[in-house]
Amino acid sequence: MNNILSVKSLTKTYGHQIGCNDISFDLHEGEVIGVVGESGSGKSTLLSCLAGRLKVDKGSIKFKSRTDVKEELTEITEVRRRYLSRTDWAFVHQNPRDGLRMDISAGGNITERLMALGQRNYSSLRSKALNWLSKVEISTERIDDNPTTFSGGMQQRLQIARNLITEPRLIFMDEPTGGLDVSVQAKLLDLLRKIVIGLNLSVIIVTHDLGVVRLLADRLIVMKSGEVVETGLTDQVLDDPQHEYTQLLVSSVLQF
Amino acid sequence: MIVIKNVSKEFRLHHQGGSKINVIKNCNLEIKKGECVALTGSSGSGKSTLIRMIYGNYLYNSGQISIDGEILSFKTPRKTIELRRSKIGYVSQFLRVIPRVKTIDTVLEPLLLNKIGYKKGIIKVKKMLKELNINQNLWELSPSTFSGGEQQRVNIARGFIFDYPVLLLDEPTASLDNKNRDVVLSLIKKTKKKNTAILGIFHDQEIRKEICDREIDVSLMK
Repeated sequence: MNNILSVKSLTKTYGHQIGCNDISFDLHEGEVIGVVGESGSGKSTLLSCLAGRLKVDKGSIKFKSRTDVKEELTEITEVRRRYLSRTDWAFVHQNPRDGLRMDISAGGNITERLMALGQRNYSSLRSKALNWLSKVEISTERIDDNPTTFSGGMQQRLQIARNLITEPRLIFMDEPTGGLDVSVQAKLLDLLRKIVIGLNLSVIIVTHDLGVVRLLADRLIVMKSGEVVETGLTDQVLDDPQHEYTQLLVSSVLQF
Repeated sequence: MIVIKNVSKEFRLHHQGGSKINVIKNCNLEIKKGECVALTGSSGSGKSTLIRMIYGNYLYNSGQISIDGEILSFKTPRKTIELRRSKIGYVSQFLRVIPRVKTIDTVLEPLLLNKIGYKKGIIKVKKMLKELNINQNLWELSPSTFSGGEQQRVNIARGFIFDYPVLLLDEPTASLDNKNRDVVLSLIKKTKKKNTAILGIFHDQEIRKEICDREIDVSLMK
């Protein structure tokens, strides 16, 4: 069993409104799962529940820690959750402004998680920041500039560097390429692909861009109205969709 | 090596009046090591569909497909990924390019996934690209801007670079000139000698005569 995450019957409602209903799946170490579906299908709710940003109504989420202990995420303390979210997990937001501190320099943004873990050696922090800036293809000269002076694509790459510096094992991504123009998207995707394969990361990526999942995800979960309607190997689901909704989704993509 | 038992496939198009298209019914087929089998039949008879089912790209509605004794099923996607990595090579009609990834890395990927070291791998890749007449100044570029024939040869290089026990070929010579077609034919012959089970679609009858041990008409599988 090398599941880093096992989700069973996860349910979340907002009053009468269903967020996500009875979701179950496993994520292996080193595996990338894509979650697709239209707006309001519950994909972001699912992601927030998994990352402990929303309280779950029902169900279980088991996470395998670095010491091979299975932790029930619906029952851990807030202190533990904050620790995990600074170390073992990363959350890449659609809007980089939600994941960055806009009034702190790029270098400060990248090293914040390390400082929160007690690292204080300035020169070592700075060299790590420089290293990550070049990894995400941002000119190292920009280390002292605030992210407000960065383009959207650069901000998104900075957010990724900031998140990955503690070598997290589980990454949650919410529309990481949303709102970026296509050439920047391609650059970001290539970068994500290299990092994910190189570091053997486990990733849950929520998106409505089928091209993104085809490139990054091993397996796919298709959601509609809070429920999972289809799962499977990414290219099988995209090339031979079975469910009515998946067929609609796939056939709605513009060909060019 | 490839065993297909009573496999049927229908497409259900929910958004076109729920119409059902029966493509393949009760297909039984076995391809042994070192054998090269051609699929024939008119366009739309289900040749590519059958190949894609064996690659796990399309699922089948009933029956069973197994590769080297392991069952290929849509219910076990991780096993399909594993089978693709280690056992099934596939040359599709078109190359699916990953933006920004160099030609040389595109071809190297199957070797790295199979734990063949970078140094050893890159020598093999260069030899293969040379053999397929891909100009050396293209190696460091992404194939996205290449011509159809060049892309197809990159695709072929990727399929033949690792010694998969099973090789699926969907019109590998369709967009190639005669010189390159002959290179591909000699690659197929070499691969056959390594005991690979090959299943392919070749429109050219001469090619079939030259390399295939038998032909199977897919339009009879109804």
